Amino acid sequence: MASSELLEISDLIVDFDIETLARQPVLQAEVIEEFQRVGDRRGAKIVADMPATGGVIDPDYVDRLLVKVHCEMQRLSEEFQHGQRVFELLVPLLDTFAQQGVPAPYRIVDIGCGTGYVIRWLAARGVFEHEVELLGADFNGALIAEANRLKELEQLGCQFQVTNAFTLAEPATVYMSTGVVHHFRGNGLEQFLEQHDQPGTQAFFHFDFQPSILARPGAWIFHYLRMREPLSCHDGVISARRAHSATTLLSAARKTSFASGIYCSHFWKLPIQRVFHTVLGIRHELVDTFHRSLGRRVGRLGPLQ
Amino acid sequence: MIPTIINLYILANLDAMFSGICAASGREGRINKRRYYLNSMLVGAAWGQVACLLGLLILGVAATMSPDRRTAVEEMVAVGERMTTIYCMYALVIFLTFAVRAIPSVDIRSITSTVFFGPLTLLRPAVIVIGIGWGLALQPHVAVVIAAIFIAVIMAPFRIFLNIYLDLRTTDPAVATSSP
Repeated sequence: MASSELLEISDLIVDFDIETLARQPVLQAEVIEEFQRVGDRRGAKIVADMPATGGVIDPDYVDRLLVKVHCEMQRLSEEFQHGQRVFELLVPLLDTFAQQGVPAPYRIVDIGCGTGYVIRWLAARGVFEHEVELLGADFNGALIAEANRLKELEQLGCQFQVTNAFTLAEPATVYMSTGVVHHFRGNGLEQFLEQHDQPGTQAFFHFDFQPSILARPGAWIFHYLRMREPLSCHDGVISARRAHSATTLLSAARKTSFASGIYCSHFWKLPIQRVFHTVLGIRHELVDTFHRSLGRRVGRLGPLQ
Repeated sequence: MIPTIINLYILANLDAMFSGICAASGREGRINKRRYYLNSMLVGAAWGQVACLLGLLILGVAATMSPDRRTAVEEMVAVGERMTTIYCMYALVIFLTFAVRAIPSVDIRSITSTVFFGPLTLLRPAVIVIGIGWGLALQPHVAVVIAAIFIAVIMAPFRIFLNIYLDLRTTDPAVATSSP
């Protein structure tokens, strides 16, 4: 199956009006047919097993399922120290902004934040030397409701909104995401990255799976060991298989006005690929300071062009 | 006999506590979960006591049904000693990995998951079977063999039992905040 034909269930069982973000009904038969068309019988069966009324997949069931799946995904993020990883990249970025006179507070927006693990982790554990505003944005109201519930439970200083991250009244200083960019295919990837060109936006970085020979078996082992929901296992493995290469990411990122490069693609200077790599963009005038701010981690950063 | 029983009891409890953590992971969305995981270890340990009692019961029945009770007990101890050797090696690798994970480096901690904890979790049922198989290689009496197989049937899918137990306790699949 070509990567262009790989489908994730979570992409197809929810639909939103792009203008109003209102939930649209999803016809079960159409989704099953999509999976059958690409020869994904397992995906088709998982969708067929979902409850439906009048041919429309039960939206409440889907919401509950997606919250559960995101909770399972959080387990992997915890195991792989993703919060700390993001924090360690944010610190030199924020130091760069401060040194270059970018006024605080620095608004950090997580695009497609789901239940907001990264933003909540940063709010709970991140010790920032500069004033920051932490905001998670997602189209899915159920995931944002869960993010807000968890935020309230632990009284964390962050916000979550059902919104398009690029239409915020106050744009982000830094846009970031995890496991989101592979959802944008073809021209969609360029269009997504072009939207980062907002007034006041100084940088972006997006973590996603890195394609490699080991990505598929590795994703299979970890998702089948750690996840319980069939949807988690299915989509987790598909995500790793349809991940963009560094070349694709850079080709799209370098069409923006940011200096772009790949961060953290290999372990130290060994020829061992990491599970995730990061496409990073930063304003050209900040590049030299950012290199200095990275300190010993500068070796992890590829050329910024 | 007593040291073998104590060793196996300690190993079974460690396994039960870690199984509790594994089964409870991915069910709670909060960031600070120290208390949650402590509770999950206690739940695992509690079910571990049930498994140990069942194991003792099986061994007791096997010894009673054996034509030569004394020989049966001696064989059980010999099998147990061999099992302990295998399980101690597995436990040692786990603890060494935890020691490496204590290094405060995101990369090193991620590698411990990718290279060790993931595959070791996958291997756990196989290690249980190998331990029992290595013990049974002594060719004990058939009653001891049957008892060992019953114990394997309890311990190998122990995490699956815990997962089912926690699934039943979670009333709303979307809300995973209840302590295990």
